[in-house]
Amino acid sequence: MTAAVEIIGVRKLFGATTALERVDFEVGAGEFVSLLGASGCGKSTLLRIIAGFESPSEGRVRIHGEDVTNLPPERRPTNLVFQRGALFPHMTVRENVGYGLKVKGWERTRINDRVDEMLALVRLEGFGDREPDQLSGGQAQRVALARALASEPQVLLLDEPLSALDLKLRQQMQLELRAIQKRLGATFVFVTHDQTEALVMSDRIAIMNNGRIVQHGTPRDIYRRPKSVFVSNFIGATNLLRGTVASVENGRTFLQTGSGTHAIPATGSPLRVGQLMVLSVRPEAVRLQGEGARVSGLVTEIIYQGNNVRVGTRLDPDTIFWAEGRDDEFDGIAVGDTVALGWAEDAATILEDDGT
Amino acid sequence: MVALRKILPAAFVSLVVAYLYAPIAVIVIFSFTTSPRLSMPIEGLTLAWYANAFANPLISTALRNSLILAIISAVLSGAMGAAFAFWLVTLKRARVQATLLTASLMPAIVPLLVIGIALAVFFRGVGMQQGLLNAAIGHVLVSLPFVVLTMNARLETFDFSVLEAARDLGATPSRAFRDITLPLIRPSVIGAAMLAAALSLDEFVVTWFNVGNQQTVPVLVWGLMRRGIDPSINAIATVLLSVLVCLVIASNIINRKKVK
Repeated sequence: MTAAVEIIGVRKLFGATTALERVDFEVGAGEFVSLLGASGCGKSTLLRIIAGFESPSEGRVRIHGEDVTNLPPERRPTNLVFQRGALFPHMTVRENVGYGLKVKGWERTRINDRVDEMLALVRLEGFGDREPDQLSGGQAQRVALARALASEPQVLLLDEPLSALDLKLRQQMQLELRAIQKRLGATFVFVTHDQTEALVMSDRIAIMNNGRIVQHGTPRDIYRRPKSVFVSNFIGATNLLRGTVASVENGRTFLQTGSGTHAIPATGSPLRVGQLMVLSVRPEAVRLQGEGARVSGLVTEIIYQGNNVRVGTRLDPDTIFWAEGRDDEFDGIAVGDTVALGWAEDAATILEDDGT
Repeated sequence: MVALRKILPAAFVSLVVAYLYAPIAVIVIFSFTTSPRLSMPIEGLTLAWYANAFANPLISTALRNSLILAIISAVLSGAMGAAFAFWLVTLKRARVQATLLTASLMPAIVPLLVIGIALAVFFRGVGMQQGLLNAAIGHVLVSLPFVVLTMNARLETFDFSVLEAARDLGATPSRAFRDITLPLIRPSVIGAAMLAAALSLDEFVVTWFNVGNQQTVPVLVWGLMRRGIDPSINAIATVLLSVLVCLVIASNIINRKKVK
């Protein structure tokens, strides 16, 4: 896999505040990578540095091997889809989509062909003569996408382009975007704060926090094997049990917590006995269990979500343990019942306690 | 009682409106009447005073001078004010931005008398003869704050991401300005320039201190009035009024098209 984008030791300071701390990252050609994080984590700054709207305080940016750190946005082989489209309000859809080609000096007939092709790609044939204010939010974002793709950028950058749309439309656009990316075989770098969006669309997710990429990997990797408490909390819901390492034997770590000692498959660096660690287990891996139950407590909450039910169980005064499953799995359970819960040993992950 | 409670506010509003518009109405009406004196009842209607006014070489020269000043104010104030306001909204530091905006609006509340005298003293100090040039400099100074104010109000809703989009699609900064910025802010700039022209057309105080022997319409009218009321003055005032009303209305219409 050749690298489409290489971020090499990039730092960014805004006055006294640090937006990015030495980020090193690569995006492969043809990859769909999401930069995922809460607002203010530096994800948009990183995207704007790749696009050329911000210059890094330190470090280099390369695109397909070429150092573009000092190039202005108009000379970079990237195009950006803006959060709110940023369509030119005084131009028609057709003129918007063709603008980049016109600037490049293409002939009118060639521009027209290309614009038709792009409008077909985003399924907006027949919308060419509309003005931007005659478009719905979803249509406007499709035009923005067509405009950015028209000049065949080597890397397409997307800055939360779906965040202003309502849920149904957003889900539909997620699938469409993914399909378009697959069809073109293009490299997409997608910024979002929505973990579901990132999981659905990406080949790879880079999770950012406080100006750093804290973990990157496939959606499955990140969901199943979070490397920190922050990541396990950020991607999906999780149950955390803090404790100390009691013993390590045969590839298993025994963690002594307030609700008993639990065995966890050992991963990563070897642990010392007595070290403070955290056990993380996803609610959907937790089952009602008679025999072999690991924890037990009093049911305090039952939340009906239609397809699923979430049951909260108080293990000790500070810990509510969540189980999630199909409606019928929790038949006959009521608030105030004492329940025993269990999970498959390899569903649990051991994490360093990073205080989040 | 009930009837009175309804009538009183209506009567008060009518009174205020009459107070605001009666003098203007009187001038307009008497510019069309045959009697040389302001008297009722009206004896007959005529356009003679208009013909009189435009036949008077003093008046046509004053009109030409006023138009020159108005055009200079429109072009210079419009361009300078727009550029300044545009630069202002791109400033990153809010404090600096607010301070500069206030500073640029201050001349609007300095009494015109002070500005007029200060300019006169300054021009004398640097050895510039009183005349149209001095008056033009004064007019630009007086209208500039209003241009900055209207442009600033419009630009606050300007979406700068469209400029970034243009750059991103390959346009150089000057190309982006030509293709995107200019078409989008043009209506606001024209509106503001027309406002500057309107302010210039009826400017008297600063003009009077700086224009020297030259005449503009307001200065000439003031001079004619000292020699008694000539109904031609009503005609001139009515023409001036119509031009100003047209300019202000046009400026409002153009400005109402929002900068998207």
